Amino acid sequence: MSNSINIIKAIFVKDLINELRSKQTFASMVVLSIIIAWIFRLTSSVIESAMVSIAAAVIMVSVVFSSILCCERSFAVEHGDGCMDGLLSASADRGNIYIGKLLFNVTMLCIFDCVMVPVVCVCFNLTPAGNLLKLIVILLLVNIGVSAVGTLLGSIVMSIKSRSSVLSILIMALIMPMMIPAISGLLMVFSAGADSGMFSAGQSFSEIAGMMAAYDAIFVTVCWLVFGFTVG
Amino acid sequence: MAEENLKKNNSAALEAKNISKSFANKDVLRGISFKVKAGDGVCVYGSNASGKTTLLRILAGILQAKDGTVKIGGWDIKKSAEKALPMIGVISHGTMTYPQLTVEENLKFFADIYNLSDKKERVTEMIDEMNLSKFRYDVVSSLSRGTRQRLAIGRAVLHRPKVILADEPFTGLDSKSKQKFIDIINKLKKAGGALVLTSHHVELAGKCCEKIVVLDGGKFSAEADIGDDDVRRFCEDHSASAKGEI
Repeated sequence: MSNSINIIKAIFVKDLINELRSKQTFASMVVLSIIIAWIFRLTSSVIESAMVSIAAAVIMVSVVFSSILCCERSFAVEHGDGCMDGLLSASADRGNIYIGKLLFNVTMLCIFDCVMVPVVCVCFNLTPAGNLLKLIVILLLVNIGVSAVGTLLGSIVMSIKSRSSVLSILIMALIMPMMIPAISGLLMVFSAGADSGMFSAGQSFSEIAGMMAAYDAIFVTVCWLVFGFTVG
Repeated sequence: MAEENLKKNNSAALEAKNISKSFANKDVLRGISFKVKAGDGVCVYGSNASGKTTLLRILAGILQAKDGTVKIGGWDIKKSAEKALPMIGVISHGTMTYPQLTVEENLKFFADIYNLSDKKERVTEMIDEMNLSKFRYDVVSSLSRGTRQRLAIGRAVLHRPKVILADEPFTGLDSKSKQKFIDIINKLKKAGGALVLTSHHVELAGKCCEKIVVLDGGKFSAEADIGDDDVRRFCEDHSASAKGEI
């Protein structure tokens, strides 16, 4: 058990140092989200009434596309100089590699959220202060779910030429069920319960969060089990 | 039969039985079997796309064989991976090191992955042994090919493996670095390590291997002592034939 924790920690720290030195992934994620927020802000100035809905969409679109960047690059590092082969031949349990990578991707998305959400709030004049905890819960659950799927798919598509587009399509298809409660949750947070979207009619925040947590549990477990078959 | 002589050895550090592998219905390896004793070195010779790298990747547990078994120190690489894999050190085309990490960080990372009890001491020991002291805090992307290859060797032998699998280790090295690699490998062999190496350079391979096997059409087509002149001539002809020179 302690050996597994050491391996997970080593992979997580290694990826973090790698990102701190290269700064490639995080910079791309932030630039992408700012462009998305800016374009959507221009649209929402025309449709003022839909401001909250558009802000929720901006957050979700930014998180999903950033996760695609993050997951793809975290595996590109491994395939660059045969590093994945090094890991696999070093008796590293495939499940531990998956968890280490997953933790890194979730951490990257959480840091990204800290930059992106205030930008969106400023752009769209939103004040989630009263619901900050709920917002954090929703974003954390989204990050875990998207990263769980993205980490698995990132390893699968590494050998494909047009991996970015394939990864985007696959992630979108798989995380769609979780996006519905996630957007409902965000609408609930930003509109202070006034309008929580058509999919969450009658649902409380805890029910939405519970549903998302269930999706996360399924995604993480299934992807962790499948990961071993996708590498090597 | 080419594999028969190798099979006769009993105390095998590495034993491969009936290894087969195919990609997209094309058979790359067809029933390869051989053994390598502790302290011995075997060079797998073959033309491009003959399956040398695939064979080494299977022996290293990176790739799954369609059929057959691989045993390292008596442990099955699939069934007892946690026992078998730590006995292997792999040197590949790629250096298997992270370009944004320093030399020390790379070795520390793999020391963590191998869960070594003496991480700090072993990392320092490898840095000294591979003459990497002055590059200790340099990121790998800033190093020359030869220095990176020395790091790759250090990474591969960090956990004191019983079997070294080296895929074209001389590629991109200058003559000084090639000699350094041969010295390191021979030192490991003296300490009881077994070596399986793939190379086009029969003369260089001869400095660290005792036997040579020729991989052709997915099977071992010839096997002999590496010092044998007939073998050298055969390999040279084989190499020239693969290039279309004869």
